[in-house]
Amino acid sequence: MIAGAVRRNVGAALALAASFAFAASAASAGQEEPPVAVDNAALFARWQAAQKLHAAGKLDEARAEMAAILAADPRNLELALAMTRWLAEVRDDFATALPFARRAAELGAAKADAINLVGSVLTMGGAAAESERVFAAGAEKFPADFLLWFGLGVARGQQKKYLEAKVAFAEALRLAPENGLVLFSAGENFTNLRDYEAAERAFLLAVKLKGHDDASWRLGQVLALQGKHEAAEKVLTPALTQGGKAARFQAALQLGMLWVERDRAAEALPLLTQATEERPTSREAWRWLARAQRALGRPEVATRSMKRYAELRADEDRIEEEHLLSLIRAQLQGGAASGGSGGGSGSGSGGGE
Amino acid sequence: MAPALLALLPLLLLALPPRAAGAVAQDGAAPITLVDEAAARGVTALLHCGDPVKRRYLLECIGCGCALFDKDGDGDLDLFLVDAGTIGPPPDLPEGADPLAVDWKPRKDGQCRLYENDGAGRFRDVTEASGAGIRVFGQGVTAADYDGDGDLDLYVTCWGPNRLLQNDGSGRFTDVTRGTGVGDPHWSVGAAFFDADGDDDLDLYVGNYLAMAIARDPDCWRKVDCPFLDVPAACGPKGMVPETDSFFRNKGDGDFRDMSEKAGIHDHEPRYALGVVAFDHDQDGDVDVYVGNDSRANSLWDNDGKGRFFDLGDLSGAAVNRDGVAQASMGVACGDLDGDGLFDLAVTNFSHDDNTVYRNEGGGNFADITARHPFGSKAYLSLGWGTEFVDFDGDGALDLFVANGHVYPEADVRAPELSWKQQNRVYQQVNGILRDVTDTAGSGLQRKASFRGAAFGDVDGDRDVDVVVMAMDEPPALLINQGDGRDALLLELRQPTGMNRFAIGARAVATVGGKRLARQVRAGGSFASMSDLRLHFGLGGAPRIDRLEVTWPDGTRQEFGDVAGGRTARLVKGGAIETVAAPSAPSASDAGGGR
Repeated sequence: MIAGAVRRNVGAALALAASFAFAASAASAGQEEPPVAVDNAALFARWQAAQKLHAAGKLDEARAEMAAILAADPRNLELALAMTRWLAEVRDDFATALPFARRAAELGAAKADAINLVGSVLTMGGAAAESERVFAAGAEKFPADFLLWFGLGVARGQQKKYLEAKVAFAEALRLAPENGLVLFSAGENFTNLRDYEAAERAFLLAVKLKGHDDASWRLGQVLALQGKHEAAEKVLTPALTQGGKAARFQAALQLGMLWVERDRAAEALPLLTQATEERPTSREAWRWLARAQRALGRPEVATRSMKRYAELRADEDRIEEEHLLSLIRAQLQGGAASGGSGGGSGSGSGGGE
Repeated sequence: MAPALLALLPLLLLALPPRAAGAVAQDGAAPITLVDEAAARGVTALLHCGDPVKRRYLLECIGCGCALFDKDGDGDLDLFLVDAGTIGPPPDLPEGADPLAVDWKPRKDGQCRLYENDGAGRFRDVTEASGAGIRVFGQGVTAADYDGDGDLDLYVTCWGPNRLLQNDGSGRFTDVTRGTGVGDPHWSVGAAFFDADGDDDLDLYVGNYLAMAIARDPDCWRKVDCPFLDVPAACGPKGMVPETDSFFRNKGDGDFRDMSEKAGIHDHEPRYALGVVAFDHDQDGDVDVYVGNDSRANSLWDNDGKGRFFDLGDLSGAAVNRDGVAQASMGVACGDLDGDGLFDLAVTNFSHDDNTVYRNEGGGNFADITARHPFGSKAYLSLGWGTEFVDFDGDGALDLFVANGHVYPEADVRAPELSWKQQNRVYQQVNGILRDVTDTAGSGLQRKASFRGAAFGDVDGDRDVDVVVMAMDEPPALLINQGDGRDALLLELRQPTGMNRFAIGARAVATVGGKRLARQVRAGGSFASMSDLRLHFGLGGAPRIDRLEVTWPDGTRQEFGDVAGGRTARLVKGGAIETVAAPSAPSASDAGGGR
């Protein structure tokens, strides 16, 4: 769940950042500077060609050409920003955008929206520590900009610095108390800090403000966790038919779990069966389905469901171990260890689904 | 936004304040006060597990457990502390040779310690004369009368062959590992004695962690750090080879036979075992085993009564937390938290993770009810080890103790959230909810160290529960409960004959003012530790137990009515409850009989 929360936080950060960054671009486009501020005609032509390569799916060529363009004018902040913005916002390619965002940060991106863009791309690219530094400096420079505080909270949360993230989210909410997305992220952070009462209040507001597609099922989840079963059911039942497919799946899973725990396995069974059909790779859907089947006195089908769960679990363990071993091998070969923030060492504190 | 919603925001932004002193009294619960009196009571051993300057390998991070047990039958709890010392390449390594190309060994520069209790809770180091001062890379300990001679022997888990130390009855020990078949060569941590097959003798479950062989796994050990939240630290356990657990069946003559395969213990893939507790999860009269596995699903070995086990973990709900996360599972607490007669579980876990509380719902089902208790961020950010459900305040309701300390010294880099040295925490049960009372529960809980194993029992003879907590590179904490145990009954169960003299696996249920207090005699639990075998019943101000039902390991039952509290007592199977010590309330024996 923790990893999932981080992913949602990062996604939320970029969604919010993108909406504001686009607005800034649109505003600047009608003013004195072009949306892509490349003043060298030749470079501009190359930049357009690189964009076409990327759009055509020739990613390696595009990346190489973009790197060459940046190398040709390494001190050009506007160029670095433009490339970052296009790759992140238009192409959704954060991996490619990451070095350009880093360059923009090095060159001292000074405007609030530029800081927000760079920080968000760093967060999305898995460089949360760098992102935190960018956002922290930005928030100090523009203390009234709630987006920078929000980005700071997300970056800290991604590194599991939840206590520090809480401070940043609090400031963002002070500046933008009706922002549902910030409320949702604050709720996620409260959940990470195991302050379920505060999380419940935040998610409740986020639901009312339509802050995030996941707000309803997350509210239902924290209610269920606290033993507020009737309230959880009231939230999760309508959530079965609201929001996107992913949110509806989670609502079904959460309600199924609640009903299994409440000795209502017969009601849980169709929900969990549907969940495994919709997302056959969800190990948790299989696990809870098995528990419902067992509660209904069907040990043989429960064993089959549990077997599927165990297979999925083993696959995930194997993938994680391969990732860790790859990091070790990279170190042995002299490469830098870059494990992200998940914790290659450390015992079973990783996220669920 | 509606004004009413806006009004909620200040609440949202403020963390709930810590409970103020006096808040406990407002709830009507007696305050808990634990004071660290280790030095004053003579427990001063400095213990190590690995190089205190740089812990390069996970082996150096796990730490050790301890045992509170009566070594000499004088009625008080003596203390055994496990030590590991350090590891290193062979001293005769040729000059220029790669030290990582050879197997490292324990340097044997640490020594397990045995302290003798004078009856009042003052300790004297008797290591040298006792024969218990073995030099091994020790991890954990459990104690039981494996040979049926009426005294408690010690089983020490190690990296390397485990050791069985036979007691001669006077507290002098002899290493009898060779020939008894229990010298498990793996890296073992948790262990528990219990009668698995109903033949009266005590069998042994050993939880094994991972295969650490520096020369065999150079990729894992050779100058590599793994990222822990981007901070380089020791690698593992993920990515390393887990070990299978072991189950040794007692042949009845004090020797054991490895029956792991036939008992079903090898039916699932090896996992990284740490915490082990043997208890009857489904009240079917046999003893089952719960194993906390690091980063892997925990195992609930359901016993068929004949010593054949089936892992019910995943289906029971006690294998992973509610979100499906396999947690670190260092320590396991076991007790009837909610007074329904079923034994619940609590599992201590890594930092940025909960200590998970599983409610036993009967029928082999467990529910993760962690979030119903306001453990809060301090628990979530702590890294837990030794733990137990114990009744610190004598009100009959079980509280929860958790020993804390990070695995990696490098955690300090991640301050303020994390630190190597942490506070132990106490959660007092009030109205069915476990509340963190650490800040008001005495100076002993204000000490910060990298704590590990914890053992629980009445050290100073006042019938309340005290705690010994191991600490990395420091003397242990001896947390003396300042309560007076005035009403409590401390009950020792004994069997007059046979191989299980200390009645391990016996169960007793006291009914006090309509509340039921269920307890079970267990050898092993917490993290790699062994607690007082006597059963503690806090009566919460009531002078007597209305009814006491005892179920012996063979299923025989005895019932007693109107049992006086305020004393330490002994019940020998088939007999009456006899007072052993009653400084505050002398009492004659209580009538009762078998049934």
